[in-house]
Amino acid sequence: MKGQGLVVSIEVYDPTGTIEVTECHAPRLADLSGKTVCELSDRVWEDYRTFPLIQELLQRRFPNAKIIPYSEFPSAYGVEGDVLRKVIKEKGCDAVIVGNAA
Amino acid sequence: MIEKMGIPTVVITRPGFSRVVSSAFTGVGLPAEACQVVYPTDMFVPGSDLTPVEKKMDELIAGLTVWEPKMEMKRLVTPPRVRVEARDYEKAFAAVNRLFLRNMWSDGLAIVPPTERYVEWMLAGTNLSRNEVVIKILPRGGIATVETIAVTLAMAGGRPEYMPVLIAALEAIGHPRFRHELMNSTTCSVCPVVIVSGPVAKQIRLGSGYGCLGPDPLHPAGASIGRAIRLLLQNVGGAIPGSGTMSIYGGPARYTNIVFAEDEDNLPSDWQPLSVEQGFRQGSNVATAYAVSSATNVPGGEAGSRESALATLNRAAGAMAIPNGNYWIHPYNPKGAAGILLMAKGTVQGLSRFGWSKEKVRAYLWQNSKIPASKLGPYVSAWWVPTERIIQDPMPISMSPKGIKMVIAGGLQSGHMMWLQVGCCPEELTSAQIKLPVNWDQLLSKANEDLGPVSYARDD
Repeated sequence: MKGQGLVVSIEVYDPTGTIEVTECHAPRLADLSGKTVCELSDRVWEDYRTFPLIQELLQRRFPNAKIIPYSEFPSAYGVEGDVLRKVIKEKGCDAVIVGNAA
Repeated sequence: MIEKMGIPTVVITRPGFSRVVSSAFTGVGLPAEACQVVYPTDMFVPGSDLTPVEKKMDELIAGLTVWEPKMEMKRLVTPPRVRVEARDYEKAFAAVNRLFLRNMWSDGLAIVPPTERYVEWMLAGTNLSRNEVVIKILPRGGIATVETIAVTLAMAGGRPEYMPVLIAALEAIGHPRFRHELMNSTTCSVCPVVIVSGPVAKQIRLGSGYGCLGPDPLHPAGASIGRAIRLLLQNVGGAIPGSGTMSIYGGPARYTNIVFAEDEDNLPSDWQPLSVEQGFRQGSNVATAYAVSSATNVPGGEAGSRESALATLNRAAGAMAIPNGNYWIHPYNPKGAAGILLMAKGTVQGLSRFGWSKEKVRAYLWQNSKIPASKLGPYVSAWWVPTERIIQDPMPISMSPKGIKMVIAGGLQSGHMMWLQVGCCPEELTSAQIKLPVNWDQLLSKANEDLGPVSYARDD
């Protein structure tokens, strides 16, 4: 702690610890034409309204994309990672939309 | 997780939820920057206007096609120190506290500025390297090194002789079967309880008698250690209310959690201390952790006669026999504990005098705290204990009597017991050895100089 006339300067540690970045984000797709886009939901907050609308709008924009609705996946809430990884692989997802804001 | 599979992901979110998503990403080793599309909160309520879905379709599609994160490198991100200047020390102290609140690094109570000198003082309490990693705390995934722990203990007003106990407590909390990531993010009002065994407890002035759950100026160690644990869970682990921790109510116990010592000096000869039950030698310095959702005062700890001893056990069993879903978060787990019953010296010694061994007490409590299946359906959520999984009627609160943990602690008068019921979502009690530094005796001498000699005369 320094004192220079009337100025006191305190240097303190940031208490938030270190973050280790071990992975980078997945590369993005050129576009969604011909791709399989999957929906995942934790089954809350009106997902039965929002996700079907997203599916409809995507399909309209990309007629030859395959959109797999959230109902064909287990709920994202509390699902074991291995279970989710397996089903995402089985369905051949090229991209995923995750919801539902809770 | 899906990004780690190499599959681009866009997350639907809302205002105030972005931090949750960022924590989830850093918790699995990804950069904090996550690809999110933020929709108005109103959109997620029944009968809402879904126009934002159409308006944000371009943004959603861009998240899967053209979105680019700012950082692409794998690396360690360690934040720099922060400098505060003011006209005098009092103003600088206040400025540091305001800064820590604005940055969400504090808990609303005044903190001690973690300056280099103060942190070095904390580090005198351990021989471990300051860079040694002790725990990675989820959901945020921040890494707490020995230095991070010293910083936080300094903030919490701690002393160096608390460091070995705090480090061991964090090792126990970081054990995979403690499931700290569930405790830290749940909607439940849950907090860690840390029970310290061995001579270290008295040496650092950790309470086991009157007021052992705090506050107690004669035994201040529990407050600082517990507060440091909370600040680490928040600052390193991201447990900010509403974004990292979804605890609906939080809870008064969460400021300093529950940190105390077992009153091993007053165990009847046939009662084993908790540390031995956890697999350590009697007299070992051990920190044992669990996650509890409540501390229920159970009036009545009399055991001066056979009748009053039995009445005391019935009162305890009655307090435990609540159809609370937390009992069955991990159904059929043989190592799980329904909770921890605290009984003081007079109660335990009275029970022992009338032939109640620890195992006999446990068996009696287990048998008499069972809950009729008819009460479970309406009270327990189906996705915790579906009706078809209620395997006995009445249903026990743990798989066996071993799931009723008992610890001797509390004031000499012994007029009450305390039931610490399990919260979300540990699988078992976890323990870690407390490792003392080579300069331990010097630390204790300095503590005696600063605080006066250790005195437990009040507990006699």
